Amino acid sequence: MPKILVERLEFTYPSGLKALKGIDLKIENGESIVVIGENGSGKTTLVKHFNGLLKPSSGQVWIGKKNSKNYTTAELSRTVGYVFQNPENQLFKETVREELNFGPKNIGFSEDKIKDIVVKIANLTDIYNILDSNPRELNFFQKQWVAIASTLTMDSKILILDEPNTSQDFLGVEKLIRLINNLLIKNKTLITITHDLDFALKISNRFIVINDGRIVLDSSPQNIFTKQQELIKANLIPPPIPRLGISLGFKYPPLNIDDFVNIYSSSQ
Amino acid sequence: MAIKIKNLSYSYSGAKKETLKNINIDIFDGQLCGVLGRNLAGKSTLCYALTGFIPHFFKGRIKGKVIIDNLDTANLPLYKIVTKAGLVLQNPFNQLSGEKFTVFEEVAFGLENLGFSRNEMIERVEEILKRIKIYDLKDRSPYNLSGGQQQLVSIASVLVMKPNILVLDEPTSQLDPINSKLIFSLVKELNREGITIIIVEHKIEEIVELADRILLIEDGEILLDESPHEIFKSLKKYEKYIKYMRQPCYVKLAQKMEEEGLWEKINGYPITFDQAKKEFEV
Amino acid sequence: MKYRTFFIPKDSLIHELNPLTKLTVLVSFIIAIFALEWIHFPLLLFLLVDIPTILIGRVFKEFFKIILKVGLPLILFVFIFQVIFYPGGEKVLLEFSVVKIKLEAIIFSYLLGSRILVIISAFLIFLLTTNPGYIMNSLTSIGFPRTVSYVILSTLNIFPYIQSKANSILDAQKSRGLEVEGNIFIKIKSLIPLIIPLLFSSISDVEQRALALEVRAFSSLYPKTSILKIKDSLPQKTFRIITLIFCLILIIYKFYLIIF
Repeated sequence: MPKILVERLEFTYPSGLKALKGIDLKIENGESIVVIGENGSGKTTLVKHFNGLLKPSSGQVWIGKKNSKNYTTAELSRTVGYVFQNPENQLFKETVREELNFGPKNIGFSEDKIKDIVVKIANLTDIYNILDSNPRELNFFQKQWVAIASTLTMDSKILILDEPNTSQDFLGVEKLIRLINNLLIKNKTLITITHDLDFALKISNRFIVINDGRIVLDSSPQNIFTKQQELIKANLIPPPIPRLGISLGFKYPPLNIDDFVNIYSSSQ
Repeated sequence: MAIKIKNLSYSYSGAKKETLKNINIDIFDGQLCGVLGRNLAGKSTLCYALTGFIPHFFKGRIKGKVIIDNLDTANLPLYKIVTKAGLVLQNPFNQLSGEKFTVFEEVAFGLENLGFSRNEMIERVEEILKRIKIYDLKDRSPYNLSGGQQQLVSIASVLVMKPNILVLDEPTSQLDPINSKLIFSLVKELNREGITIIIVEHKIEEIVELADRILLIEDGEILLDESPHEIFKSLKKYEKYIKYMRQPCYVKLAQKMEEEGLWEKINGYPITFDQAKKEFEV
Repeated sequence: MKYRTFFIPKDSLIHELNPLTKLTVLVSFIIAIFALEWIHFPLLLFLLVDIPTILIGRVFKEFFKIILKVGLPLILFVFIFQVIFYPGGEKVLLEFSVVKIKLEAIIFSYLLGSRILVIISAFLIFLLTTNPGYIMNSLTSIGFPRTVSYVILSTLNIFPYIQSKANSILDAQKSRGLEVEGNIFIKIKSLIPLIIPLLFSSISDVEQRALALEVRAFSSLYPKTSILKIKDSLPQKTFRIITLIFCLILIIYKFYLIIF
C-alpha cells in the first residue's frame, strides 16, 4: 500500500487558473522525494493536496487508505505534517514549549506523551535551551527551527518540507540535512520542495520535476541530469559538480565530489 | 574613494553586545565586494551602516564614522545619502512603496519624493527601465509580478536616483535559480558600467565568480579582506575560516583530486566553473 | 494574488474627467437628493444622469454586476423593512394579520430606497472610472495631507496581500491540527491562532516597509512632485465652482425651509 497515491489529479483554482493538468504519482513508505520546479509550475499546488489543504478538481489523492476528499486537513495532520516556509505565519504562543505542545494537543496526544515527545524533539532540533523563551523574541533562524519542531512533535509518518533552506546559512543547511537523515532512519516518508538542487542531492535519490502543471521527470538525479532538453524546458540547471562532469564528457553525471573523483580516476 | 569606514562600532538600542566591532574598510570606486559570513554575523548591520540607515533609521549606540563621497553620513540627512548609496533588500514584496499602481509610477516614486520635475522623471524612468530590460512591464501592477520581476523593479527604483554605490543584502535568497542568475548578471553589468557594488550573499560559487574582493564577517569583525583567488590559494590559508564560510565546491573537489594524486596544484585552487573545467580537462 | 480595486481602465469621456470634477458631481448629487423633497427626484436622477454616465463610461457590465450582488439586496431589504415597520400613517392599503401596509410607508420607503440607489451608484461610478492614484493626487493638490493619502492607497494595495497572508496562516495552523470547520464554538476557538500571527507579522511587515520608504527618500524635505499629469480644463473648473455654489444655495434653502 503506497503511502501516497495520486491518480489523474487535476486542479483548477477558483480564479480559473488550471494549475495541475493530470498528475499520477506513487510514493512509498520511507521514501525521500524532492519536488522541483520553478515558481508557478504547480509544485506547491500538488503538495498541498497531500494533506488536504487543496482538494482535487478531478482525480483522487489517497493518503494510506484515506481519500483526501473525505477528511479535513486537521484530521489528516495526524498522518501528514507540513512545515511551511515562513515561521511568522504560525507562531502565536507565549513560550516555545507551548508552541511545541500545540500540534500534539490538537490531535489528542496524552499529557505524558506530549511531555515526552517535546523533550525528544527539542533535543533533536537543538532548541532545548530556548524552550522557555518567547518565540517572538527569537531571531528568524531560531523561529524556523521552532516551526519545524512544532510539526515534528505531532509525530506524523509523512513529513512535507516547503523550501526549508531559504534564508539558512551553510551551517543551518547542514543541520537540516542531518535532521532529514535522522528522520529517514526512523522510517519517515519525506517530501521536500526546493529549487536548490545541491541541497536536493544530499537528501534524496528521487527527483520529481514539475513544469506547467505536469510531472515531466520522475527519476534518480543521475538520470535527470542527463536529460538536457527537459531540464532547459523546466528552467533547471544541474548543480556545479554534475554540470562539471557532464561538460568534461563523463559517461554519467557525478552526484558529489567522491563520485567525480571515482569516475575521473577510472577514466585515466 | 567610494566609502570609507573608520573605527565603526555599533550596537542596536537595547542590545547588550556590539553587532559591529571596530570595523575599518576602504571601498574603492568601481569595486565589487562580496560580503560573506554566518547568519547574525553582522552583514545586514554593515549594509545599513554603508547606506546611512545606521545611524539615521536605527538609532542605537554608534562609534566611529562612515564616509561616503567624502561626506560623513552622520552629518547628512538620510534622504540625501540614498542618492549616493542605494539599498536593495531580500524580500521583493516589502520593498514596494505600497502607493503606486503601475511599475512606471513605482520606479518614479523616489524621484517624486526628491522633487524632480516631471520631464526629468519621465526621462530617467524610461532610461532605467530600458537599461534593466523591464520596459515592457511599465504599465503592469507591481503586485502582479513574480518575485524576480519585483526585485528588478526594486533595483530600478533605487538606480533611478543615480547613486554611484549599490548595496544589496541577500537579493536572491527568496528567488529561484533562474531569477537569481538574472540578478547576478545585472549586478555584474552595473559594475562594468562603473557602479560600486557591495553584495551580501550565501551563494558562494556565484559570489567568487562576481566579486574582486571578499569580506568575511564573523561576530561583528572582519576576518578576511582579500580577493577570492588569494583566499583559496592554499588549504593552510583558508582552512581556519571554514567554520564561517563554505568554500566553493570546485576548491573542495580540487583538494580531493590532489589528495588522490589525480591533480597537481600549480596556480592555486580553481574557484569558478570555467577554471575547474580547464584544470580537469583530460 | 490578483490585485484589484474598483477601477476599470477604459477609454471614455468619463474616465478623462478630472477626479475633482467627478467628486464635485458626487457630492452635489448627495446634497440634492436630500435637499429636495420631490419623491421622484432621486430615481429620475438615477435614470436620466447615472445610467447615461455609465453607458458613456463603458462600465455598464461591471456596474450592474456589483449593483445586483450588493446594491439591490440592500435596497430591497431596507424597502421591505421600512414598509413593514413605518410608524404612523393612516391609509392602509393591504393587511396581513398583524402587518398593515400603509400608503405613507410605501412612499417613504420608495424615497429612501431611491436615495440609497443614487448614493451607491454615484460612488460606484466614481470608483469604477477613476484611478485611485489620481484621486489621491487631486486631493493632495487641494491640500489633503499626503500621509493620509498614503495610508489610504497603501491599504488598497496591501489588502489582497493581507488576504493571502491570512490564507497562509490558516493553512499553517490547519496543518497543525487546528480544526476550523464545525459549529460556532469551534470557529471562535480557532480565531486566536489565526489572528495573533496576522497581527504580529503585519507589524513586522510595516517595519520593513517603513525602511523601504526611506530607501526612496520618503522623508525628503524637498517639495514633492508627481509624475502623473492629471488633465483639467477651464470649463471643468468653472463647472465645479458653479456646482458648489449651487449646492451651497440648496443647503441654505433646505435650512430655511426647516427653520421657517
